[in-house]
Amino acid sequence: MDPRLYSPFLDSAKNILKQMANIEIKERGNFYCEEDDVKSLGVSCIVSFSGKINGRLLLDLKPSLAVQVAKNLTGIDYPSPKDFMVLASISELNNTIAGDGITVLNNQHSLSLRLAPPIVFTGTDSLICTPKFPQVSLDFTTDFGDMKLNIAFDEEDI
Amino acid sequence: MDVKYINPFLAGLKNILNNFDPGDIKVGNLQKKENMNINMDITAVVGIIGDIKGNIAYCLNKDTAKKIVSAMMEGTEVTEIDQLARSAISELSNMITANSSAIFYKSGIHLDITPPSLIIGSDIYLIISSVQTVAVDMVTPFGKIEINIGLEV
Repeated sequence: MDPRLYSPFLDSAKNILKQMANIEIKERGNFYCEEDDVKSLGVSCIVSFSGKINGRLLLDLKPSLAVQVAKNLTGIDYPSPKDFMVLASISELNNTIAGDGITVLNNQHSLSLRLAPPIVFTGTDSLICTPKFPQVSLDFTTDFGDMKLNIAFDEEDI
Repeated sequence: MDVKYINPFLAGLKNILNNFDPGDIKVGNLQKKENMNINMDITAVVGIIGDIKGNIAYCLNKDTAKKIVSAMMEGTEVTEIDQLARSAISELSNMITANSSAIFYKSGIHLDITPPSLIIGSDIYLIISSVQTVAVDMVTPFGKIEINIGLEV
């Protein structure tokens, strides 16, 4: 996949995790092609988009990181990620990252991308499948648990 | 939620499934979704953008999914939800939602749809809208499909 398609989301993720949730994220390696379906780390949020090309952004977090994000946003300690406010916090975070990322893509490459509202879920041994779409992933570490960013588009190139 | 936003998705599902098995498809229980737990094995979610925004989640059990995929593949036996079956379910959700958007278009509501994502797992707690979600049970010859309509209307 053309790096110009996915690299804006890396900058967005780093900036927004820091600005909104006061959390530093560190890449573990580089972006890699995700051949198979993505195994959820525990809390997953998907924002899909449509325009001249179509795709989706998946933000995937360990439950410990998700509750910390929610705590930093709301000031409340949540015992479990299976809470409307925890999931709403992750939803808002990913929506902002996606919005920021597609603004860059639209400005630089005129892709006319528009976002659907986020979906967010928590579950056990969950798998997220986006059949037939090329996708790339980047793994991160934080002080509160791991995170993954996964970007899929129906086109490999701009 | 006004039924004018619900009925096109129910009609879309009937129209598409009728291509594979012309059996009786009935609308079962319809309710505002208060409990966000998903009790079924597979969920296919498609985003909606345009004059209305939201997400539609189609939930079904593995047995129902296998029967539908088998019908989509002209009766080929489907024994597991492998990559091919997942691709078929994904495509099914795409076709249903696209058919629904054509129905909306006739009433002057213009929509685009975004790529489907499939979620497979257990103990799923899923939020597809921050505004409101309506859950409709569709009783089909293949088994039950729960359509969750989460729209910002």
